[in-house]
Parts: sequence; structure tokens; C-alpha cells
Amino acid sequence: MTRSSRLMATMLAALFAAVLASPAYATGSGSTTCGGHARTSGGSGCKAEGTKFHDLDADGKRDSGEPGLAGFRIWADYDNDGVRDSGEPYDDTDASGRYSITGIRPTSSSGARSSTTTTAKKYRLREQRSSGSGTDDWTCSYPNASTSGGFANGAGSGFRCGWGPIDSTASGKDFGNYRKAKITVIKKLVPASDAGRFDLKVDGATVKAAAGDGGSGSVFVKPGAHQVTETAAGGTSLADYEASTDCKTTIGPRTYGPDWVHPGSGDNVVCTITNVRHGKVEIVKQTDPHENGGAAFAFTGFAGAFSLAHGAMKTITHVIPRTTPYTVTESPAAGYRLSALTCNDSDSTGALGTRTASIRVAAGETVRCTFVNTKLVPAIEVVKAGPTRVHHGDTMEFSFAVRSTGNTPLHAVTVTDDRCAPVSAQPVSKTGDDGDALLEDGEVWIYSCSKPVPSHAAGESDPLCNVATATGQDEQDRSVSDTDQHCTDIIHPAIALAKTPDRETAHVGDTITYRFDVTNPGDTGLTVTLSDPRCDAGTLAGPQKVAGDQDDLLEPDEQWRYTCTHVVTAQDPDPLPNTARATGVDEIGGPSGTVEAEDSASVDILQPDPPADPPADPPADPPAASPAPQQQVLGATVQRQVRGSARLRGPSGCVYRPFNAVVSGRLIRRVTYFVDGRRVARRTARSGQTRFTARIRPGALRPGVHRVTARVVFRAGTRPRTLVLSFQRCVPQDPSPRFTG
Amino acid sequence: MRVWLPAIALVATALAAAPSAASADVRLSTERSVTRWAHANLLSKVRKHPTRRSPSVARLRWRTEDGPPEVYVVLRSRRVRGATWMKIRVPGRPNGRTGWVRRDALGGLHKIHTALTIDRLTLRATLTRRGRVVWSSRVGVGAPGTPTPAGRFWIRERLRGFGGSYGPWAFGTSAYSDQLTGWPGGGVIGIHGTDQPGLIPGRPSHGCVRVPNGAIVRLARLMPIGTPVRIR
Repeated sequence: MTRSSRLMATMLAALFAAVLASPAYATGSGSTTCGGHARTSGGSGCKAEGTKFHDLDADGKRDSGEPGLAGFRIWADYDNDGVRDSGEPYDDTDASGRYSITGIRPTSSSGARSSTTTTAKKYRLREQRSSGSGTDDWTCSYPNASTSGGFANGAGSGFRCGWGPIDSTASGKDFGNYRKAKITVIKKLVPASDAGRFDLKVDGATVKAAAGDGGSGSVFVKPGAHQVTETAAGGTSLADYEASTDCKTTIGPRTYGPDWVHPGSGDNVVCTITNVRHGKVEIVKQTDPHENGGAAFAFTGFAGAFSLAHGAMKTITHVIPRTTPYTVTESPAAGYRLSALTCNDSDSTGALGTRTASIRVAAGETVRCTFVNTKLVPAIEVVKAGPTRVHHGDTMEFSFAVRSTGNTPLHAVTVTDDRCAPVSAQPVSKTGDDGDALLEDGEVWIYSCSKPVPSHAAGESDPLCNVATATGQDEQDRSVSDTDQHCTDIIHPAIALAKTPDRETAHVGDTITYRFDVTNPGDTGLTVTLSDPRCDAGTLAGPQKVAGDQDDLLEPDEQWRYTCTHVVTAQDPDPLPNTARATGVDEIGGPSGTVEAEDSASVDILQPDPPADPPADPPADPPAASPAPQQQVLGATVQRQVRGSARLRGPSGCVYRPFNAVVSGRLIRRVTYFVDGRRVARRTARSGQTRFTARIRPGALRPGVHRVTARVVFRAGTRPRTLVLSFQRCVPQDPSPRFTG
Repeated sequence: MRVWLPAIALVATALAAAPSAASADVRLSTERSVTRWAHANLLSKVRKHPTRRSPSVARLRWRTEDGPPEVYVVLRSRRVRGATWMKIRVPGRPNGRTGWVRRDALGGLHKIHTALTIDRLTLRATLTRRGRVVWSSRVGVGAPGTPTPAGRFWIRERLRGFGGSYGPWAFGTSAYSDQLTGWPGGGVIGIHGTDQPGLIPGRPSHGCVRVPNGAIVRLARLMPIGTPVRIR
């Protein structure tokens, strides 16, 4: 080499060294503190420093409030292999995240220049956990590929970010790390037994498919905004549920938007998606009595306005469960009263006063509330009472019992009577009354009226029938009325007496038999007493009830007969008169109920006595079976032909037990009995016998009509007679009536 | 003889009847306080007048349409040429027929003192015994299209224990519906209980008289066969 060439080489080397040592050649903002160019030996080397921070939001830059991180080791990676080798200086971050590496003397470089002892070596700043290798779930976010002087995909398997290549002192070489956040999505169903199934998703990716109550899934995500959602699965409809999302974080309060979570670095977010099954409300309308096709009733409430007729139901679906009750109110309807409002669960109520149902719907619950309206049917009943029988001159006292027979109270109650006025304006008494002015169910108001029985006059009605009318008004001022008729018989007691002696003439010593026939020409039954001073003591007999029944009342169609005797004495006047008196008392009694009748009869006393006493006639009725009666005329006796008679008596209609078929009459010689043509008995008369009996036993006969025949043979002068008695052998049964109904 | 009021003297005239000529009638039933009735003893013709040559209007029968023995109300009797004839009410359509039968055509006479009145206007039935009201009730009667016929009738049947629409007791009357001529059993008007008490009082029936069940049970204790029924 020449002198000049050696000088030239020396100058180029100095120029190159000067370029390398110039600040413009150094990378990053760090200052060159290496004391000239780093050399393979000697000198203090380069220094690098910066801060390790927690990139909470993983945005790749340090924001206010993002703290430093301890526990990280920053080293100068001389050989750029991503592994801290022996001799590669480092520093561990302190509590504030700061590090400072000194004595950096790179021994190799991946730079463009060759590794010579005279050229600057380059190094890279890398990081690792202070405890060793691995990332402990940390992720490097700064520096990154867009960071000037930094890189994101360095060599190695740990943190792959770093700074470099650097060949000088560097500062501000910060490292930002974050940890992935964990989002756990939990499904909660209300009720827990609900069969709904849902796919739980984070950012649209399913973390748990077909989750039921308690089902969950997790995913690690980069800090930032993530959407937590669900979709229905397995035939489930989201429309049937009320859904809400509640997320909780472990590192502090966060603000979450609907369905969004914003986890920070290392956050552990638990999101619970709660699905509450919608309830259902059914409003049922009924009327009492049931009115199919009747009027519709209007309702208002949380489901809007609607109307229902009897038997109809309004179904309100997708009702969100809540503790605050929903309300449904029925509008008042003329002619009806809301009589019942019930709901079929335990916490819903109905208030008749406000006509409102307060409905609490739980998850998945169906609440049915029934509104029952009773049709108001006002009705009134009057029952008139009074005497059933009166005499002229009596005063009739009538009472009118008025009650409400409908289902609504009545007011303005009045009573009138077409034949008796005035009726008391106010009730004279009340039973069951609660003190108000309303005639209610269970109450009876009594009104009264008095009326004298009209005297005999033309046009008098008998019975005297009054029609009472009671009127009242219900709560809607609709008038109702009722009538009741009461009839009072004006009775006219009367009695008649016919006295008949058994002869027209008599002699002293003769016994005269008097017959008293008492009849009732009136219109009411009488209790009768008879007296006759001419009757000898103890001879008055009777009454013999010859027509009518056998009770103790002489009724209008009856006839009673009395008899008595009197023995004619020499002291008796001639003619011998006497007067009998019959007294009758009707059921009312008193002076107006007592009537009397008298009748007199006289017998001529013959003087002197005839030679012989004629026998007395037998009573004309009833017929006797004695020998032929005689009739006495002025002491002479004339035989009169008497014909035989017979009568067959026995039961009629249905006969179940044995009975007697009785033939009675006079001049009977023999009676032969037949049942359905078969002879069953024969009775021959003993002396004076007038009654013949045969025992008939229907038990042996078939069901149906049967006939008892009595063949009667008389003593003389009367042709035989055949008498018939029919009866039915009935089988006890309950025939089915076929009335018109 | 001294009589304080004019005498009816029906019984007296009957007792004095001559066998050779027709006598005055003896009234046997007032159909208010006294009523007599009988079953049939012979299936005789019922004649218009009390003679054998009079045209017949019906024939006696043993049983009603429903089976029990037929019942005839006996109104009066008359002696004609020694024979006693009875004037009776005849059940059947048209309503209200009467006729005459011989005395031996009927069985023994039964005497009762009850009478039932049914007022279609006031919808009330009243039972009297010897003229006194012993029972009364609101009733339901025939609808306007099938009205309960008016007139004088009587109780022919007492039937119990059917329940249902007839209630606990049913009484068959001698009244027949004027409209339901083709009804099974002839359209007999009944008085019975009900399974629809809410329709009483009212006019809900085909002609029958409906009585509340409680009232019909009480009525059954009081009203015997043969009781005259006045429907007005």
C-alpha cells in the first residue's frame, strides 16, 4: 500500500465511524450514552430504559390510568433469538413498571453490517416474565407492528414483541401488555323448570348450545367491547320470554350497554341471561242466569278495551311477570249487578266495589279471573190473609204480607186493595228488617186494612173476594207488582125443623112417638141441639144421621133425625100440642152464628078411648126387616103390601186385601154369592135377618177387574134380584204419567 | 114448620120421591165444601138424560189412561120410575161433559170436603177444606200457545216418586188439553212438581200446573182423590 492509499483508507474509516456514531443513525428516541460507539470491550456500554405498563384496554398505547407492571424482565437480545442468553443484560420492572438496562454491549447483530470489533453492534429489547419463560396469559400489545422502531413478530415462543434493532442507548422503550378477559355466560330460566333452551353466544359465537336453566359457557376475549347474546334453540320461542342480561366483573365496576360487555385486561366477566317465561291472563264472563247470546259487557285494563258476552273469554298472552298487579275493570251494565269476581291464583284479587281485578302474573302462570254478573230480576209477592168466613155486620181485618222474591231490594213499596181502602201507608210490622227503607230478601212487611162486611143488599158478592196489589221499585226504578186474592165467605147459618108425631089421635095411655127431622137450609155446618118439653124424660134419642156423613156437624146437604116418646096422660090437654126447638151454632158462633128453628105438632086425644090400642107404625126410614108394617088410620089397621129390597155393598176401585160383600135388605130368604161366575157362598136367612155377608179374597185372583154377583131370593111377592159389585185386583205399581207437563 | 131462612130441601124431596114419577134432584156435590165420587161398577153407557132411551154421551171405564181406577164425580141423583139415576161428570175431551148413569153402575160413594182452585191470572192455587184455606201456593200454568184449560175438573190420580220434571208428586186431573190432542195418553192435564222451580210463578208449561216441590209434598198430604178442581 502506498502512503496515499493508506491515508485514504484511514480517512474512510474515520468517516464511517463518524457516521455510525452520529445521532441520526441511532434508532428510537433514546440518547446515545454509550460513550462513543460501543466496542467489544472497554467503555460503559449502552443503556436502555422504559416502562412496562398494563394495557388495560389492549389498545396498544398507554392511556391515562393504565398502571405499570412489575414482574417483567426486559433484556437486550443481542442475538435476536427471542431467548435471553447468558450475557444479555436485563432489568426487572419495579413496582411502577420502570426498568433500566445498562452495560449493553451487543456482541452480535442481525444488522446489515458485519460483526466486527470496529463496527457498532445492534441489539433488541425483548421481554419475558421475571420468573422465567412463558407469558402467564399475558399478551404483548405494545410495541407492535405499527410502532416505529418496534416489532410484533420477533423470534422465540414467548413475547414476540420488542424494540430494535438498536445500537445505542435507548429510552422510552415501553412495553404494554394485557391479559385476555374471560366471559362466562350463564343461563337462568324462570321458572327453573321451564323447558326453554337457548344458545348462548359471545360476539356471535356459540359458547353454550341448547342451554337450559344453569347451563353456561365461557370464552377468553381480548379486552374491549363484546356482545353477549342468545338465540332460541330446540323449538323455543324468544317471544314467550322476557329476557335480561346482567354481567358482573371481578376487577371493578364497568359500564355495560345492552347486551354488551367491556371487559378489561384479565377481567373475569360473568353474564347471566335470565329468561322469564311470559304469563297469560284469561278474563271470563258469566251471567247468572246464563244468557247465551246475551248482551256484551265492556272491559278496560292493561290489555286495552274489549267486550265479552256470557260464556266468552278474553285471552291475553305474553304478559310480562311482575309483582305490580295488572288491572282489568268491568264497566257497569244496566240491569246487572257484578256479584262475583274471582281469580284462580292466590295473589290476584277482585274487588266488587271497584269492579276491578288486580292480577299478579308469575313466570309461566296463567291467571283466570271470572266476572259474574247477576241479572237483576225484581219481584214482589203479596200474600193476603183474612177471615175465611164472616157474618153480616162483622168487621174483616185483612193483613198483607209483602216480601221481595227477586234478587234486588225494593223501595217505594205500596199496597192497595180493590175492596178495602185505605190500606196502611206504612207497614204495621216488619220481620227480619234491618232498619233501612228497602224491602230486602228475608224481610216481610205487613200492611193492614179493615172493612165491615156489607149488609144485605142487591149486588152483594158472596164470597167476597178482594184483590190486593203490592208494587215496588228496584234499584233501577223499575216497577214490579203482584196481586193476591182472598175470598171470604159470608155465611148464612140456618136451620129447619120438622116435627112429626106417629099418629094424629091418641088415647090416654097411648105412647106417641115424635120424629124430629132437622135439616140445614143454610150454607154452613152447624152444631145442633134439640129440645122438646113434651118428650118424656130420657126418651129423646138421636140424632140418626139419615142423609150425609156421620160427623158431628149438620151440613147443608144432611138430615138428622131425632125421636122421643110421650105417654098420653089424662092431664094432657086436648089437643096435645108441643113445640120442639132446634138450635144450631156455626163455626164462628156468637149471636150472629146461632140460629134456631121451632116446629109444633098436635095429636088429638080421643075421648072416650077406642076399644083397642092400634100398634104403632114402624119408622118409615130406614127400612126394617120386620114383618109387614101397618098403617093406623083413626084406630083402624090396614095391612099394606111391602116389597122385598136388597142392596149389595163392598169396596170399589183397587182392592188388595180380603173384604166383605154385604147384602142388606128386607124380606130376604137366601143370598148366593158368585165371584166371576163361580159360586163362593150361600147364606140362608134366619128369622128377621137383614144382613148377609160373604168374605171375598182377591189375593187368589189375577190382576184385573172382577165381579161379585149376589143372587137374592126374597120370601114372597118380590122377584129375585141379581146384584153386582165390581172391584179391581190391582198390582201395586207406579204407572208412568203421560201428562202434558 | 118454622124455617128462619129459605130451605133448599133437596134431601127432603128426595126422601119423599114417589116411585112412579121423576122426583126432584138431590144435590150430592157442591164441589166446594162437599163432593162425592165413585169408581165404576158396571161399564154402562153414560146417557144425556136419566132414561134408558136417552142417547149416550160416553161409557164408563175401569181405568184412567195411566192405569189407576177411573174416578167419577157424582153431582146429583134423581128417582125416575123407581130407579135412581146419578148425574156424573165425565172425563174426556171435550172438557166439561156430564151425563146420567144408573145408581148400580157406580160403586160406593166417597165423600170429601176439599176443593182446589187454580187462578190462571194470579198464578196461585188454593186448597180449601170445608171452605177454609188449608194450602196455597204460586204455580206455573200453560204457556199462551198451550194454555191450561178453564173449567170444573177433579183429581183422578195420585202418583208419586217420579222425580225429574214431574217432581215428587203428580196428580192426574180430568182436564184435557184443548191443543195437544195427539199427546200420548190423550193430553191429560196434570198437577205436579217440577225440576225448574225458577219458572214458577209463570206460564211455562204445555198445560200442566207446576207446583214447587215443597208445596206439592204438602198438597199431597191434604188433597184426596176426587177433589174438585176449579180452573179459572
